[in-house]
Amino acid sequence: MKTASSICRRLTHIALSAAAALTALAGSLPGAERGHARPEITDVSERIIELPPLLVEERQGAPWRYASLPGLEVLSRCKDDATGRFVRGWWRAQTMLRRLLPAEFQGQFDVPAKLILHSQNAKNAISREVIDEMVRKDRNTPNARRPDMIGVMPNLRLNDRDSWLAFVFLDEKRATESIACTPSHVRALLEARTPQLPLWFIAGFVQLFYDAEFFQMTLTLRGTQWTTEAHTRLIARNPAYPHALLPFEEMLAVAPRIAANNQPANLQLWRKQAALFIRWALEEKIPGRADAFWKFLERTCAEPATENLFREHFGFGYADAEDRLSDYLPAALRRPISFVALAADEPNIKLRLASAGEIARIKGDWERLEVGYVQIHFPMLASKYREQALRTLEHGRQLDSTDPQLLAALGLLYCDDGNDATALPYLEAAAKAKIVRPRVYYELARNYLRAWTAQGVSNDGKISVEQAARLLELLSMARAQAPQLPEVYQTMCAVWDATNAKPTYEDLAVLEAGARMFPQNTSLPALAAAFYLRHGHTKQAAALIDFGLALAPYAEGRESLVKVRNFLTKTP
Amino acid sequence: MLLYGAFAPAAQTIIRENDPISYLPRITDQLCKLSHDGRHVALCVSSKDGFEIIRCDIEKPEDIQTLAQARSFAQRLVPVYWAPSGRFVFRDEQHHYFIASGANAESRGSADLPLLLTEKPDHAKPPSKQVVRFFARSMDDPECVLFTRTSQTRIEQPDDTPQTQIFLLKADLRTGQTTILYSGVHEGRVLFDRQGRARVLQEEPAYSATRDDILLQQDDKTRAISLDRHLGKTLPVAFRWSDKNYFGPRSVPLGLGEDPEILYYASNVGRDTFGLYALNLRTSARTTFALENPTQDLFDPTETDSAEPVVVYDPTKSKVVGLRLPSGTHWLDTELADVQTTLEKKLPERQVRLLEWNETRTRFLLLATSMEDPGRYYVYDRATRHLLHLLRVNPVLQMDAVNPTQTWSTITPNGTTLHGSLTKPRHIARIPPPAIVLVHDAPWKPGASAGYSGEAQILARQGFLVVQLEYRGSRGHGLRHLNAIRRGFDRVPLEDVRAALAWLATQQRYDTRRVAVLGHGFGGNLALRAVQLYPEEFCCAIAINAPLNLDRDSENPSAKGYNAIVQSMQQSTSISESPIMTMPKGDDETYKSFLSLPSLPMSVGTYDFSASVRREFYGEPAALRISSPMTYADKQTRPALLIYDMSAKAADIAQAKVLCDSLKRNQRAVELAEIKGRMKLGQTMLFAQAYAHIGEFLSRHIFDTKSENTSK
Repeated sequence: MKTASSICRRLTHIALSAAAALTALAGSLPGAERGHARPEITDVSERIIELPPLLVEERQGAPWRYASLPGLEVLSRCKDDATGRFVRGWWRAQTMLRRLLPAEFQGQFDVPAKLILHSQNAKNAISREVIDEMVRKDRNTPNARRPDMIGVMPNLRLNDRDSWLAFVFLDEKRATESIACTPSHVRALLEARTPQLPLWFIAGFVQLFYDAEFFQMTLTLRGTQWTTEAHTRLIARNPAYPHALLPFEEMLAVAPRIAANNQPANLQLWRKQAALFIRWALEEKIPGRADAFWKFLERTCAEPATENLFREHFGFGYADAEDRLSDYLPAALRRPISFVALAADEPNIKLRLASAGEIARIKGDWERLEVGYVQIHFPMLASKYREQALRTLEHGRQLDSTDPQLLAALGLLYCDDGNDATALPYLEAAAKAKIVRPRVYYELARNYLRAWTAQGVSNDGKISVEQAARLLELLSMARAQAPQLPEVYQTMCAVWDATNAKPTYEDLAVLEAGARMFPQNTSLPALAAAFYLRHGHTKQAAALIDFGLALAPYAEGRESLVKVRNFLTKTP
Repeated sequence: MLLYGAFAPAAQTIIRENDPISYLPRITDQLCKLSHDGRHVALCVSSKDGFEIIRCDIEKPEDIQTLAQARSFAQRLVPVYWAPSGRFVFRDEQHHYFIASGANAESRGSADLPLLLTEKPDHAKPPSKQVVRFFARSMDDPECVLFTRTSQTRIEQPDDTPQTQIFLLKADLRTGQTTILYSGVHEGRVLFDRQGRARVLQEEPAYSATRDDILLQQDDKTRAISLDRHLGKTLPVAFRWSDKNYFGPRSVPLGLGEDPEILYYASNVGRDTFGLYALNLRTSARTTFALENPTQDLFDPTETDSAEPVVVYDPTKSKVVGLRLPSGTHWLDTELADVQTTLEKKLPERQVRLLEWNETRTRFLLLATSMEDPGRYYVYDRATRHLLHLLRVNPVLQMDAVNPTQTWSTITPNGTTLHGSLTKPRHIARIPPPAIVLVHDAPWKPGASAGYSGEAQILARQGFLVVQLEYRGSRGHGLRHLNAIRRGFDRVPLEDVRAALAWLATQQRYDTRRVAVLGHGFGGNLALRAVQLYPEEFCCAIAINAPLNLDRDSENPSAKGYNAIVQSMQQSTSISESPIMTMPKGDDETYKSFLSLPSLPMSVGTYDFSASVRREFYGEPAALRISSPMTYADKQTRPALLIYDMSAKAADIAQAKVLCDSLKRNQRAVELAEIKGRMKLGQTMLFAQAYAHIGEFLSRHIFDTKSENTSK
């Protein structure tokens, strides 16, 4: 008969491998779109490709300038006035975003974001080497592109698990303070938020930003577009034109049925309708409706949306809601709505000459993230970007071998490359310096756990109590910083499974807290429930399983929960 | 204080979202239709050029084609039938029927499309009125449709008698040709079976108060016979009816089943409420089918003119699948019953009416109404469980502006079960809020539980708790409830009004010093009697189109004279002896009333059956006078507003002026307003004017704290 222990072990193994898959699934939310939509081009050779910038030449060009603001570091090779305008614009855009999306629903990052600004004039020149590389590698392929079909992206935002950076080629003469938040930026903020936001909200809110305009302190949502342009025109002209809506229980479902069916037309309707619902709720025509919406949203982060829950917040049920949305649609197609933000405190932007260490750290971290991006989209160039990143970070380490942030970037570069052994000393040094970087602690713990488990300190293959304590200490450091990472809690489960030390009730509560923060990650509630079960807390286990099953978005993740539940029902 | 007002109707109305008139429904016709295969829906929408019928692909709602356009903005187009081939039949408001080809849909004006049938008079004969109505699709050929056409000849000469010719026509949509399946001369309406044979005649004789339902001759071997006689004593169902038992026990044929020998009928013979039954005409025996409710009538005998038949027939299955009741539909087909249940769960707190479905029953056109929504049309897809949103009965109505409405019921101290509705103001301007009792017209009209009330919404918007009730004398709750009013045409319903307010007091705090009464027709009389009888409980009254002298019909000398004329005409042998040449010359009122009878003075015209029914119901004139507001005009102390439109009889307006003069002499506040037009559906500007006047009146006498009406 299977024991709770064996279930836990199996689940731990599944969890760590499933974590990546589930993260990928969650990342590929219905409607995930990168950047701006491009027209379909059938002939591959006619498709313009844009590479991430690769700043090989450091000796030429204007000096790098640096500024530090709350939550942001700026490294700029543009003129100070242009840099200032851009940063102020970016700051205001975040303020306007908070006007529409309260801060408590945005992902928080303790690691400051980084903006790298470079003059647009040097765009192609400074990345000449990688463009030439691309042309050379592309030459002998069936769909070889002309050199003028290969360029450099005007801007790019890249995410790490615990931070994000953006690179912008700035037209210094035309740099304004009118900066918009892109849908991808909004998506990243929403996906980083814990407890996790439901899929319908992320998809719908991101969809809203395709119709968003930022101007001074006003965020305007233009008249939205329905499923097709033609249909939009018809309905806007005459509200009596037929239009289909999904039932609310489907739109708000934890696992939208249409997502499972994967029919593009239905997925689009789902996104559009979710956006329409959010827009309707936030339009402020009815006092208190926006508040009710945010409260409803918060509740659906911890429990599935039901009609009773909906009625509790809005005062009417799904059928009435669908009718209201149907009535609202024509107006939403025609009429923009504006949200005026209170004037933000202007940021104190003090630009100075950047130190070599700062340049290396920020630029190197950016180049490190480029490697991951290029690995997916332009694998033939990955080695070039990796070499560049290593060069930059090593150069920085030679300048200052004690900078924990630089050491962390270097360690993470090796981690990303699968070279844990080389990464270890850098991560240890950064952790010793108490760096604010959750991923450092996680990667260290993961590294140690793998190594110690392989060594098998004691005869039964378990790690020692001291080792477990050390690992948990590292993971607790990660937990104490934002953003929360699901892999931290999964690794905690793995640690408890790898030791004979008995977790206290409080330790188990930590696992449960992690599970409740990531309801779309079904391995976590399964693991936490299994540990509860193993240590005799059947009631808590049952509650956690119910929670996990209620909020499991995909069928694949349910299996482990079902297994634990089956075991639970057999346990006397 | 006496005020006279007159309002002229405006040419065109644009209703804005926040306008009080936005609460009123806009359409009653079903302006949408589902195609045979369920793939498309056709609906009438307005465009910049006027109304048009569009065809929409349900799976791709943006795929829209225009089937027909009407040039004039006022000309609403009504989809009628959609053949499997895609040929589409629709009509305009004058019941001209047209064909459009769905397969080759292109935008064509109604004048350019093939005219199928029309109500245009036949100029070859003396002027007549033709009525053309769509009947059904042909059972043997879905590309053919059946129409009924009735034509009445007008009386020109004294010895002419009115003739009603009834045709059942079969129109072939492929060729546009029509053939006559049936023609007959009758006085009344004919029920046809599914094969197009005339089976039952519902008499409406011109000169008689007695009507009969006749089983028509089917072949040379049978003869036309009264249904009652045909059924014999073994099945006394009382199909014969008259002005005396119109509101009493009787039976009404509804329609034939898939078996032409099965006749569905409604009856309250031997019971209090109308139930639905079926009988076999061949065997003269009732079938086992029976649908009854001990407290609710399942049939409304005054709705015989409704376009929607009671018997629901599915031509694809060739069988009767359901029966339309006032409260919904009773499905005999279990599959449709399941769909009904599913939709009622999906659309809770609504009355869901399945209107049409495709041949495979995968898509359904439905209308959902509720106490707070006059109605929405949808197409329901059974496979996906999704709804395609179509038309709204009131597209301007904002749901967030609708005032919450609930039904209620209570048992009064005298043991009567009362039903009604309560509409609460969404925004309460005054605490506690005032109340208004909305009293419906004519004692035999259905009352508050019937559904959405735009009028209640308008009043609630002004801050009133609006109470409606089905007082004793209302139809729909059986004979006892209906006839109870005969014990006192004012006191009995007003007892119920006061009981309703007593119930309200247990549910909701309201300002008992500020209670108004608003009534239509007979309800207007009640409003005036309420302030006359209970001035300490009701502070003002509004009466719309109130017939202040109900006994006018009872002792209508013109009616007596009319009967005398008819009798003598039937006995006379020559025109010179016709009493038409020696009309009675009574007093002016009698003469004017005499002239107001239909088709007089030059022709005899038809018998006013409605008036006769009212006379029978109201009984002795003396009893009515006791209940009439005119009798107590000089004792009235509370203010009143009287509104009349052009549907009101001149005599009623004259009486209203007499009442006003009386109140004015006694220094009582009274206002009289005449609206130049008929306040009916679609005439929103006229309603706007009336309600603006009502609003001002209520503001003065309810909300004005300086007014004498609020002092106690």
